[in-house]
Amino acid sequence: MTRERQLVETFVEVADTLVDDFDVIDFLLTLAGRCVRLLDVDAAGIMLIDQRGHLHAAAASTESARLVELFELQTDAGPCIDCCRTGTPVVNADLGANAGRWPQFAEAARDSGFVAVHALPLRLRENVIGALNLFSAESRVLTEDDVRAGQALADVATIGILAQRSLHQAELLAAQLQSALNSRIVIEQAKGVLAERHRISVDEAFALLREHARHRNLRLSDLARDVAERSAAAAELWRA
Amino acid sequence: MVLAQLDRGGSGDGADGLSHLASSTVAVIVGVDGMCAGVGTGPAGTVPAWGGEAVGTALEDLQFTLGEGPSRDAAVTGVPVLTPDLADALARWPAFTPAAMGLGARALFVFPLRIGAIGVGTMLAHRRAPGALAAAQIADALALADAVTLALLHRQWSTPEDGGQPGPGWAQPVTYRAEVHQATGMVSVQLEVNLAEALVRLRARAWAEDRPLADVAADVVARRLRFNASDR
Repeated sequence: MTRERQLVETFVEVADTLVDDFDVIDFLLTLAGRCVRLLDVDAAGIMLIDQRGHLHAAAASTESARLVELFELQTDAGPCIDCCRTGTPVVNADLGANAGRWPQFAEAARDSGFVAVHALPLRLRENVIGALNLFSAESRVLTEDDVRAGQALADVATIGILAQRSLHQAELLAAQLQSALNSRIVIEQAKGVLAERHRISVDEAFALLREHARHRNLRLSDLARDVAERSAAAAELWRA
Repeated sequence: MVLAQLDRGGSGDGADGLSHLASSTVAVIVGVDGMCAGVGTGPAGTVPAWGGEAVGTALEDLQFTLGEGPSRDAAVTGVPVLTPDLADALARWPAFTPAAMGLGARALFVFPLRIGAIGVGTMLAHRRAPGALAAAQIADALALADAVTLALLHRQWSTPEDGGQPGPGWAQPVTYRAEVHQATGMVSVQLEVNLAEALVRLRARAWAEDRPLADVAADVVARRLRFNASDR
């Protein structure tokens, strides 16, 4: 399948998920997975920036603790925060050459086996609400076409985060962002509950949570809340 | 600025930082005419917990009596409910809206006090004239909501051994690291307590050991540190 074809299919697929009452984190997880395939990178994450300028990982192509840590490290210095501050893409940043610019981040990313990093802004008019963060394990240069496709995917992520309501004011933007960030926290809490309950890693706990939501056709955030609150609705997962 | 005041209040004379924080001062900083916060997320409404100016209290009472309003919506959905002009909200809250306008409120901004699945209550700000909050005012209100959430959590769940006191720096946001929330979930299972109490225990441990919360949380997630019910 050509990439154009894959892109079209991805847009059709995500448009289908943007129905009433869709689950924003689940949507972003799907999108992060598609980014890896479509842009031929090795990891992708969708980062949101809160009112204090802290970066939060809303979704990643691989939900590994190590990768999430790499995302979060960038609150101090890194391509994501640069991208959020300037609203412009950071593309093909070589992690060796940029060791001086983001020393801590570059070292951690290299330790994880990455050699290049990219960040594309999640933009809504004059606001930047986050970035699409892409990692490559090989030195493959993102072409202009790749960047265009990546920016389109980043725009889709923005639409998904804000789509639950039409947006005319900064106020609604803040409300939607806050809501997405809080959904993510519920998922982290539920991961912890399941990890301890079943003596598994938090990464395994996430896989368990997501798989169960898919099989039972539940919204990921709803299931996570039920697990976190130990409500009867999640008893099956609690005992599993 | 607000947070610095909370921090100062948190280190000292028996009362927590929140009781030192005059809601009228904060209202000026955020750019509204009154602010208050209440505890509770259920259908019974909220119990006043911070700020006590007349209009805010009356607005909470109204919502309790009428069974509708922005605080209830914010508590149920977990999303801030921002209404820059109450006149636009007649369809949404047909009984509450005219009554609230009768009290002199023309704009209402409600922020849920919550950390993930931990629901504490809501914070309500009002204006006597219609008008949206600027982005910086929303940022201030959200930062304040985080700090008030933590203060109320500590009030509710701290034990005498903690001194009932969050330590200096407690107003720093808790929401920064994923591991803090994962550890909260793990500790809640270890201690067989709810998430709210688990988070307070986690913070009390960090405070007692004079370590960053994120470090203690990382130890829990890596299973280098367990909380035992007998330690409580």
